Amino acid sequence: MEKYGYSKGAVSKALEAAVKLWLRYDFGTSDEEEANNMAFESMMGELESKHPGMYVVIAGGKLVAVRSSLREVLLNEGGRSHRLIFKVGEKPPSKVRLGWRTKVKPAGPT
Amino acid sequence: MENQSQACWPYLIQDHRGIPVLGVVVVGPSQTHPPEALVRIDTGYEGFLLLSEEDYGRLGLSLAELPRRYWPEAETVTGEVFRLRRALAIVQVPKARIELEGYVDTFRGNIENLIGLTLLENLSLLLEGPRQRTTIIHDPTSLGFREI
Repeated sequence: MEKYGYSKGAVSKALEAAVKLWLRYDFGTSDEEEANNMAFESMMGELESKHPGMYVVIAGGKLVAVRSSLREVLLNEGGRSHRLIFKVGEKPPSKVRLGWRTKVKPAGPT
Repeated sequence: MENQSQACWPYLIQDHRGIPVLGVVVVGPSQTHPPEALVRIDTGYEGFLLLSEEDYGRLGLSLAELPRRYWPEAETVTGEVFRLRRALAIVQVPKARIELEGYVDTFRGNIENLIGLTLLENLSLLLEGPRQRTTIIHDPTSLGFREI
């Protein structure tokens, strides 16, 4: 993490960096995205007991498809602004290291 | 699968240095990443595939996102920690006639496309430094991909 010493403008630079970091951390959510995630949380237990290993689509705050292949759900259930697709029971790692080659769009001059 | 000599890609030259790449097609809900994009290999990235925000949007991956509770935290080499968006997609390697399913990540302001360790775990790759090229070796014991 970059450190800012005592100099003119150090506080505003540190503040600017903190705001940038916060903006990168927090994604804004649409109403549909919120509704889909709430639906997922409410039906997670039921899906795990009824459809283990299946691909599930949640859209418009509702369960819309349960299929055995990713291609089927990926390409066939379109037309909305947001959908959740996941394999029931599969829990991806919660932390990822990014490599040396990761680049971020420059913020531009202040 | 085609013969070995056809499933290879010359290194991408950047700043007078050769960087290993793979030619992939990403299949998302809206469209594929046509026709074959050269994506750099980065063994420092632990995920499957990192896409720029622009490509993530173009492929319609907001229509294939994982529930928020499965979005991972990412840590950079400088210790910065932030949230990634994550979606499911299919990655095809047309020259090797294979496809793999995996998680595609992006984050605010990202302008890079990178292939990470999780995708590489499924492939037998040969990095030929002197010849400056990457080759996929056919490995019949690998179960991580489907032939197309």
